[in-house]
Amino acid sequence: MTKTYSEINEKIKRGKAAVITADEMTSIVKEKGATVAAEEVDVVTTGTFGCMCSSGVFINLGHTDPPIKIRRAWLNDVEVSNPGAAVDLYIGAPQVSASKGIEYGGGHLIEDLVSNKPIKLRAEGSGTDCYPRESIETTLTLKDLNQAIMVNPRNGYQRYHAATNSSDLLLYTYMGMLLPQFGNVTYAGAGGLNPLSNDPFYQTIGIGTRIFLGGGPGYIIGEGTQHDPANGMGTLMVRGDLKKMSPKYLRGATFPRYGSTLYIGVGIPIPILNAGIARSTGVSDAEIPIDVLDYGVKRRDRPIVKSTNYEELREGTIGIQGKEVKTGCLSSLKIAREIAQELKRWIEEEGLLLTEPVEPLPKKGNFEPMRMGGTDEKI
Amino acid sequence: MKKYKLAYSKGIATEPVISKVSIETKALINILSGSITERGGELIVSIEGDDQQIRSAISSIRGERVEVQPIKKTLELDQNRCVDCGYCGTVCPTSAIIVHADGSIEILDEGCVGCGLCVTACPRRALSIKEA
Repeated sequence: MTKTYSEINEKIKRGKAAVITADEMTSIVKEKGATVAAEEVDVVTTGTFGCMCSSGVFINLGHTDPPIKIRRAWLNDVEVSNPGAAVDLYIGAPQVSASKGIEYGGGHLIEDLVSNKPIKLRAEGSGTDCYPRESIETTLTLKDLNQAIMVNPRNGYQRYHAATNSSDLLLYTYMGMLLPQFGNVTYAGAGGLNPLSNDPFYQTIGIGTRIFLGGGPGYIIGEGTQHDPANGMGTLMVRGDLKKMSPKYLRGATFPRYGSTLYIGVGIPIPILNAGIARSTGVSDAEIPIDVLDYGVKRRDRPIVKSTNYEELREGTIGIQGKEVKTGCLSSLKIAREIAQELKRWIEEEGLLLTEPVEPLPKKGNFEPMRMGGTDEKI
Repeated sequence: MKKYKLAYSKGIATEPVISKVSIETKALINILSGSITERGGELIVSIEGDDQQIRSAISSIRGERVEVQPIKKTLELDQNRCVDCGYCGTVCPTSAIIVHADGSIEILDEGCVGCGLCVTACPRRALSIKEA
């Protein structure tokens, strides 16, 4: 049995669509099989809530009189980049405060913006005949901005490896603090709830797919940077209107001695068009393999110390070289579940319709090391 | 169970103070964390027993020229900042942070030695040590 997008959308409009979360779908596929599941279920909602450094917001400030062509700018002392015309700026989540360092970064700034807190702007201009103003200082809120468009180059990793540390030193990494001599294991992602893990062949997720982004509606605009489907590590580039988002799903974060970043909530609805897609959305934590890498080896290609999966990692401890090691997730499963529930509510109560992608995500990616030349090649 | 910080000066660090006091007073002294070299150092311990045993254990430890200070620090969680990831549980040396299946945490006051590792580790700055 197969269904089309328009058949599912008609059901949603009539309030008759069967919408369930990816957690629930895992049990249904296990109990009844993919064929029955495809008949009974129309949409599966997914969710993930984790730190996604490759994120940021384009803002347009509006023009002053006399106008300014911004050369450098700071918002709450966090330097933002000037990627285009006079008063367009981009807030990168990992940017850090000139005065507070990594304790306040672009991620915290985005959280404060979406919370409607006043933000201090300081900018320097080039001073041209058409843009004579050379500096400005003022206070703005999200409402004062013409646009605040979140565009994230790399979000929603399909899965991510886990980290541990064989060395004798405490390491401070983007995977958190790694205690010496295999003192802990950290991992990230939502496992069986993760959007791309529920559609690993990209049969429904593609350019134009309408999604949940930071608590508001957003869209997939393509594959993300470092998209690597061959290794089960696909990524997404997404876009959404910050003015429609919520601080509940956008939270600034600081990883000690590493940097600032942003926790982002992403959820994707998956239409169950056929039994194959039903089978994919039946994926469980146990079916998503994860390698535990040794960050004690300070190289690009870190050795694998153990191959495991989300189910084992969620047990709380894991055996490594004869030692019981505590495991801890850097992402929030609780909020990921809330996102899948919220997306289900959008469809059931607010009539959110599903979109057929304009183009599927590429099944081939490109994630090669940087080409190095001459004497620089040696580290 | 009460927790104490024991400060060892140079000279006393090589003496079996804890064993001596434990045998003498029958109080159970559990070393929770610490670092001592021949130059001295400190231990965080919990002392179990009735009030009389605890009092005499403390006075015996002091009699061995080791300073004893009760620990009154408590770990506090700001629920508004916490995102329920549960990562703090992996860095806690005394397993005083219980992580539930959904990532939400529970702090066991009696187990916490106030080392502050979780405070540093928390990406959301949701944990803090308060002096009681």
